[in-house]
Amino acid sequence: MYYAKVIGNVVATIKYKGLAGKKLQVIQPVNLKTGEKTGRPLVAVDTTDAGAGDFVGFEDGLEATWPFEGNDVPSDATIVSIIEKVNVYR
Amino acid sequence: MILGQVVGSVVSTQKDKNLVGKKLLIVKAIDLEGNFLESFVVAVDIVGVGSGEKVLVVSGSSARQTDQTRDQAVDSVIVAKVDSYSFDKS
Repeated sequence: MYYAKVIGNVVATIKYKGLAGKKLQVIQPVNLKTGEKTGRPLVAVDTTDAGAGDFVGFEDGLEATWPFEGNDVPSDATIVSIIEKVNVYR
Repeated sequence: MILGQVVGSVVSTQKDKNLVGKKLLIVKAIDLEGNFLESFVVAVDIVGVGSGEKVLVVSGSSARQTDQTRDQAVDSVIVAKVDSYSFDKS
């Protein structure tokens, strides 16, 4: 799972049927400790109810399809948690 | 998913039999401001998009989670036509 900040959303009417009704968010991966941006923003399917500004955890790769029972959701990035607080001890 | 813009198409006569009849498009990655990035992919179009349109591309094994690409030699798929998106620059 990776750490990112929700910075926006995407509207797409024409899409694969498995993605119908799914929320698409623009996320910026960030460093867990410092909050600095790491890498380029990407678009992720949202299984939570995250909004802009929220810090979230997301899965990438084939694991991104696991939250969806059945296998008809082509997603390579899926938001699976909203993160309230991070404790880094060292 | 990555944001991209359709910049061309690929014609291939001799190809894997599973790819017969599939539309192959060249998609160049764009950043959130709409500027072209260096990277591009050849992606299978399963939703029906046209040249110059902004799209979402799913890569890797997640690209095989659609009815049209399941168990086939595909690693990039156009899954949505982007109508609009918003983001917070900061």
